[in-house]
Amino acid sequence: MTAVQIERPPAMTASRLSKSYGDHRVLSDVDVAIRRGETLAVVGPSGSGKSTLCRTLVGLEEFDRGEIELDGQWIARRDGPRERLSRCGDYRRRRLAMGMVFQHYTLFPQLTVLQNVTLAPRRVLGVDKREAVERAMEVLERVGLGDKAGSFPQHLSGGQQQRAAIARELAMRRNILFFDEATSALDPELVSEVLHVVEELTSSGLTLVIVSHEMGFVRRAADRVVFMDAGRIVEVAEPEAFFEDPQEERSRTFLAKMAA
Amino acid sequence: MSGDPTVRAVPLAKPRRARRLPPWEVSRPYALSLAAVVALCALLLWLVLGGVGGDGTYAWDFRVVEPYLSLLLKGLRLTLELTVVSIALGMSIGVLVAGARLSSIPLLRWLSSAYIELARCTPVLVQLVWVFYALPIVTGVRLSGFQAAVVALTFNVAAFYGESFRSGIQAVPREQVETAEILGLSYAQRMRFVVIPQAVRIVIPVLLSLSISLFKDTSLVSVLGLNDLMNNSTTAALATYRPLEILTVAAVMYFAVAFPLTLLVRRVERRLSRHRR
Repeated sequence: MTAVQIERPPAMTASRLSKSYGDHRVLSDVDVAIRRGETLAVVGPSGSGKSTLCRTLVGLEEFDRGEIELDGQWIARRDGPRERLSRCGDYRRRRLAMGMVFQHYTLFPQLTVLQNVTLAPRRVLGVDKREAVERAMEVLERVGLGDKAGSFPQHLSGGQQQRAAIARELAMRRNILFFDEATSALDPELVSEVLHVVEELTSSGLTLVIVSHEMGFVRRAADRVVFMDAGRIVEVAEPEAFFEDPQEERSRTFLAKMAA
Repeated sequence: MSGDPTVRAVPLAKPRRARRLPPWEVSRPYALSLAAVVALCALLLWLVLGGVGGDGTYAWDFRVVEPYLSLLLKGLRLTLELTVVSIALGMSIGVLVAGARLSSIPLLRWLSSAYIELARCTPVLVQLVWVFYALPIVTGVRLSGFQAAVVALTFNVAAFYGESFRSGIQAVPREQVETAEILGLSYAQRMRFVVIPQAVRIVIPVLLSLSISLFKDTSLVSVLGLNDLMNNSTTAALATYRPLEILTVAAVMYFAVAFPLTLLVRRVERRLSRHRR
């Protein structure tokens, strides 16, 4: 980390973030600061709240208590389950800084790859058609799909679909990209081509938050690892430290299970 | 299908099609059902015209139908008019019904489900008779036979259309809507570019089947004295004392309209299934 990066506010922070479904607490006082430009991996057993955390941060889900900041300014806060959740006035514009790649059903099946990538830049950002197409071709080249621009999603492999979904986010010029188990639904042989693209992004200045079960990838590509269990953040560490010398009992149990 | 020519005009390369089936593979299901139908008709024709089989007590004579052909065709025309008008009205109202069912306003949801259940759980025949005879008493509005038939058939079919629109909209995967939300599309844009184009694909086969049923259900309007194909057949049958020949011809006419439509449904289903993941 260079000095400059430490002085600037984190890309995103969550403070005391809590959320329950009935009696079931899915997020318990989660505090996390996502540093600008870092690659943050979120790992943990299934049902530990990793996906919920990401979905809450990008605004797809509400929460019961806590505050979310983007670039040092609050965008959503709630004082408790009885209070209203308030979002900042220009929330719709601010949230455009955050992108997300889902596990499946990501591309719009009735549109070509190119149309998938140009839709939001044109309709939301108001980019004119020629520039949108240029931008799209650029990002499609970047994920190795320059020749698939005219194809429909159902004619692409799962890996190609996920790469196209990444390109679509890149075309929106996001600051932060969330990957919510973006490779979990893929056949094993297709995982690496997607991870390869993600790995390339780690050095691009983009802030990446990656929920993943691919431990080898996490170790290789992440700057920090957040370990979650039962809706809480149990441990935050650099990958080497986390995998070699986990500090918490629950981390050790989880890693032992993943290794088995 | 995006409904937006500017979005559609974008592709640089021609969309690649799925592996093309050879023509005999593509048309096999149609050819088979066509062959089955032809065979069945031929058998019936042979039995009827040749007087083969049966107990030999009835001598079929299709020549009696000829003078009444134009009457039957006139009836068919009214039947088709009734069908087309009811489909158009039914679909428009169906969209509203689906919108109300999915609305965030409880009263609208409640009203539209009440309507749907009322329309679905009473027979069309009862609805027809009720609209024609009882509605004027209740509301004081007199309807012609045609108007009453349109009202009743629309009342019936809009509920079914509405339910299929609703199921189509709900069948669009949640991730699709969320992805669109993350991309920053407004509610209207999400509906226009993501939900509706997909829902339509899901729903088209059902809409076609419902429309075919409606076409056949129009035969019930003869109870209101409307001169549709069914009623004109009865007229011709009474005049000739030859109901069997007349009704057989009427059946052939209904079939000649409905059967190509069922083939169309199958074709559309196959085409759409290629676009599904």
